Amino acid sequence: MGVKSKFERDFEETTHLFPKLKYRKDNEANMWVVSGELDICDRVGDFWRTFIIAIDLPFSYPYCVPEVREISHNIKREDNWHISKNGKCCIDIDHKLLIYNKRGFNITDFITQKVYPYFANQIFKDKSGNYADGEYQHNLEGVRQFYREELKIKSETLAVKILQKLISNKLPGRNDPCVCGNSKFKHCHLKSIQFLQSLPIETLKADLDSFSRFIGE
Amino acid sequence: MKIYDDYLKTIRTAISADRKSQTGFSTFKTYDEGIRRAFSFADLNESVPQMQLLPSLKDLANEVGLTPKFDQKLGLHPDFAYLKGTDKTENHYIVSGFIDIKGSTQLFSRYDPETVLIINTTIQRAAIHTCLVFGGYVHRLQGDGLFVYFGGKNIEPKNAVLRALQSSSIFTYFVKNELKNLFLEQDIDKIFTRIGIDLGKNEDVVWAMAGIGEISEVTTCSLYTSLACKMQASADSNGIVVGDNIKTNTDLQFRELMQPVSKRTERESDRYIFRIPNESFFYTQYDLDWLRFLKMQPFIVTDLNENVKLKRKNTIPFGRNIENLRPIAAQNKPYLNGSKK
Repeated sequence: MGVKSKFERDFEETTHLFPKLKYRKDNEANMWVVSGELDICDRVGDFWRTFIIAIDLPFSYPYCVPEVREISHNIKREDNWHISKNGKCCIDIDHKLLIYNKRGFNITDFITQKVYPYFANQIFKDKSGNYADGEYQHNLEGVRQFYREELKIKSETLAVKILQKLISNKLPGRNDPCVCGNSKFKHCHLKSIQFLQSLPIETLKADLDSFSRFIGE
Repeated sequence: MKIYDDYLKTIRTAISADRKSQTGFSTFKTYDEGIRRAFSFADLNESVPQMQLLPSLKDLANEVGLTPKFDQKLGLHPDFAYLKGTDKTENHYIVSGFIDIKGSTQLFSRYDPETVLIINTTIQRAAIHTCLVFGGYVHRLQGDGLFVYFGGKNIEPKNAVLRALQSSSIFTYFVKNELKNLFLEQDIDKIFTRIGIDLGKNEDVVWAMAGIGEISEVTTCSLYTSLACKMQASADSNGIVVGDNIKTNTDLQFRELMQPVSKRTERESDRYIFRIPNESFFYTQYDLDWLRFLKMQPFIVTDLNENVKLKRKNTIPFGRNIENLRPIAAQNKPYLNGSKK
């Protein structure tokens, strides 16, 4: 038996929490495919529902962006359920997943923190009518919402300014005034910009392009 | 897991009614035997009826989907009962299992004999009921333990193997976790099971009557029945050891949960439970990772705290509340990128 890959070693831990998931190696597609049943229980351990899922992870794991698919058709294939017609699950804003390309991730943490909550949230919406902590709007509206709510970049004009400086590598020093003009950079948008620095340059350019068009530049 | 809660409740009641431990006398002769116990062996039959599953275990039976057969007789597997009183034989496969419950002798140092009787009988009834839930047949009672068969005329060997492993795993989980916790509260720390299981194929098992007249039973003569007993002795505390025939008659996904016993003991001599060198026959015994096996079963769920629970597909648990899902669901905020649809 050969030496196990990083993915295979990590997956051993996954089986303790998610014993009904297994994996296979898809050499044609150059990816690991995790598949099987995901049983969703609440915080006191009461069982709610089972989803049959698949997660595609390129061989570059842990530096890759995984894709999650729902196979059991337990979720309506409609946009307002955040799932595509072919079952691809929109578990989070793309930006939060794209940083895995640079920062890497662990498969067990990914399932625990991203996949399991997505399916728990689908049940929550099914039973209560709403998602537990809201949802991102679709497409560009969702990206604007993400910049506004989570990166605290309140206007598209400021987003453009920040992205331009980031792409041209002209960011201020830690103790200089922030790009937004308020207080010191280190006390202001530094953290948000550090997050953006972990994104692929193509994403930053695409966001710059979208925001520029939005404000009519 | 809660499926044995009613059995645990009975044991707790018996312990709280125990005269020796309550009075602090060092021997059970010193208390007044004229005082009636608050919970006696006669009360046990009401608390844990012989011919009826307790509600908590009924939930498991409901999810497993089999109807327990309570009309069994020891030493008389219904499919081979016709052999009783005859000199006929029949070759037919069987899965044999020895379930030994160890450590009950220490109970005598703490409790009076009737309490020990109630505790042992309750545990044994839990074991019998579990076996019946999975379609097993109790062939013999051995001390505190059981000798059971799985399989018969209308069930495929593979299915019988699966049920034997399910039954043993769930009972081991009960003893290792829930029963252990109860006894730890009493400072008793060594009640555990040892289980050996093996499959004898049609050509390797002869069914016949053993004994004379009414001092008899219909039983199997098979190397693999004997090996199941031997493998029980090879098992670790709360361990399940299975023979190679079990491994080869299990789904591929479960085979990786079986490792040669020699890997645990680090003694190569423990790899084989039986060998006939001049026939090049070497028979391997395996430790079953029964917890992982159990977690993979369709009637079990594992929650995010790694607790194993009964998966209630057919009934909604009492008191289930969507608000208990909120903290997990709120970690998610879904998005939809139309360009990637």
